[in-house]
Amino acid sequence: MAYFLTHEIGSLAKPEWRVKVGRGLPFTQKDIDDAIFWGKKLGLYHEPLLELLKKKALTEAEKKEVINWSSRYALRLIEHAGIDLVYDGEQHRSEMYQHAVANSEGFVFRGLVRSFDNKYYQKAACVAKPKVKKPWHVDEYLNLKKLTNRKIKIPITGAYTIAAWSFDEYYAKKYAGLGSSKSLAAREKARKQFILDVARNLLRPNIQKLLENGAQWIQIDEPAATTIPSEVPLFVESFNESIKGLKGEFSVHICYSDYNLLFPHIKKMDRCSQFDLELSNRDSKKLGTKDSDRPGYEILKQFKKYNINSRIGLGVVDIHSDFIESPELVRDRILYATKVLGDPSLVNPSPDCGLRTRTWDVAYQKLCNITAGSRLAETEMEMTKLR
Amino acid sequence: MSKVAAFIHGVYPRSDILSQTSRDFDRQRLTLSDLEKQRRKDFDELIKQQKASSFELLEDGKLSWQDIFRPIVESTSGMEVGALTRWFDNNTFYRQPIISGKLKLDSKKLDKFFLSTIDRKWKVTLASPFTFAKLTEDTFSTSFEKTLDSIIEIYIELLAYLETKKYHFVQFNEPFIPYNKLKKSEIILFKKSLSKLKEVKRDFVFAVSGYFGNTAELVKTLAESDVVDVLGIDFVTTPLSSLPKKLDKDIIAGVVDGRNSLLEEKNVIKSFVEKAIKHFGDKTIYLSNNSDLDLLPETVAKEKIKLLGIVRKEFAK
Repeated sequence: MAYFLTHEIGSLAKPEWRVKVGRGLPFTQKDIDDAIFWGKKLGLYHEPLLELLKKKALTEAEKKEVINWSSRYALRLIEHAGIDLVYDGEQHRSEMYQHAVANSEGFVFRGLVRSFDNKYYQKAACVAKPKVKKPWHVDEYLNLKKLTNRKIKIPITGAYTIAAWSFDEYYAKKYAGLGSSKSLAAREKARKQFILDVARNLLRPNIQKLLENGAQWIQIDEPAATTIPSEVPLFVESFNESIKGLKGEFSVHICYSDYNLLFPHIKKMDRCSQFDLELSNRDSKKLGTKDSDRPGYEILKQFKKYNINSRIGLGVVDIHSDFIESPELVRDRILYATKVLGDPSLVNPSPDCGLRTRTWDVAYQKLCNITAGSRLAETEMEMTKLR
Repeated sequence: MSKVAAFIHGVYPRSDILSQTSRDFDRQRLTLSDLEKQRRKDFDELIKQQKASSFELLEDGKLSWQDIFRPIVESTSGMEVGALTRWFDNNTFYRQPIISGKLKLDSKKLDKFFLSTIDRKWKVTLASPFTFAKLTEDTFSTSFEKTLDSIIEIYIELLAYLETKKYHFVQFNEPFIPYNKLKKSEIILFKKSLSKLKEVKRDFVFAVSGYFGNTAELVKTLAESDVVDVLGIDFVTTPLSSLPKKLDKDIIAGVVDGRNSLLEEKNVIKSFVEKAIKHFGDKTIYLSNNSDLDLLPETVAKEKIKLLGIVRKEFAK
């Protein structure tokens, strides 16, 4: 019988009491009530957390303890929703780019750059050859390992995205000047060196440390993979360099991108066991398993056409909407993907991306319905066999 | 004799304090008056920087603009603000303009986006009508030519408005053509559409500036235009050797990179400008940023302004 392995993608919103620890703000009764509500709902013994939240001031050790509680809550939420592969919603991290760069040598934050409207992000410049300052995620992984018996998949920001979101003040110095073909060629060479050095000197040692500590599955997050269409081959090369010589299971998460640009280049990512894709955001909400019912999943035909046999981390719930996808809608998305790919073992249902923009209520319901929809799809496949 | 001058163009970055203030305003932690006060401080600082660098023309930095299209979209009936869309290959996004009906500009709505009293020392940057049309979703017209025509109509009204404000130097920024490596046959459509601006040209100086790719084809196509007076070239991405010699236009030379925080070396720019003078002959070369400085943190953009001023002064000696 088919079994659809469900998993999460990475982030979950941080509870208000977790956010307050980071900002040094006092807790309120609302924070305590929230901790009680979710503690009871998830079946967690939460008295020690309440004791911490009742305190007027916390020591550094106690602040860490509150963050650990947040990690415990998020992990349990995902488990409670029935998801097979788990993480802690990145409760220990600040933001995917900032966290990685802040824990690396060779980068200096240069200030805020606008993302859109009144939204900004801290952008760093590479000023020396990148090096790991402190392994990015080993502590959080070791902490989680003690808290769950389920298989853990660790998300880590990819080399191409780190380089694409940074300025380059180190490699770019090698440019030969302005307004010449020679300087353009030097620029391309410097860019390649930068990206591959991030892969070799940051990603690979970080992944290696995680594997040495028992991690089995690493998800490399590359939201920038297709930003510069001509550099997609470079993204592919950076992925391969990041895992070169390492033994483990590696997947890549790419979202809000033009997936057509990935072909045929990703044929060279033969050690990528799974492509985690944001698809439901592009899909219709109606039920059905015909092509016209499932426009968001059309790209899967490209995977089939190019004979890419990696699994698909199938985004079946939209992380930018409070609309709760019904188990039946999730089921139909899974069944359609199975039909296109021709093999149920290639389909692993998940959210489109990290759920951090949703409330825990919404995130929980969406995750529960991924589980329920997967079970419905399995039943439907069995029924079809019997018919 | 050649002259070397300098100015900046496009959207300028907000300071970290203004960024935080606008975020706090969104979250209703601060009032509109707090936001305007900080915006005024940023504006004063930007003007101080440009004057200290002895720039020939000044820009206001568009510190209240959410993207290069927004004030025009919000001031035009028949046009709406659409989905967040990536700004070429940058990690920055704009809201896609959507045309849903016949366009009509309400110039009163523009007042909050443009300076009210100015003199001939000021210039203004607008998105080129071609880039504007290409990046717009038109649910009303049936062809790109019609979309471009309707944008040009709006620009005719916009330029009439700018004339009342006494602007005389208008720079149209054109990243779409170089980025997409459009061929001459496609750029000719743009050239034709620009000729429709003749009716409002009068005292205006019009510049068209290309960036995010090799600008040579754009320059070659517009070299003979009788509407365009100044041509802007991204020299981070365009080899000088690919450009025609002895152009009959002044040049905006994009010599500082708006997409990388690395500060260019003064001598590299100087030696390039000497080559450019030889190449283009007896013309004014305006040293400038290649693309909008908005893609840099404000502290870095400020250093780039300073550098432009230093190189400009070297040639003024």
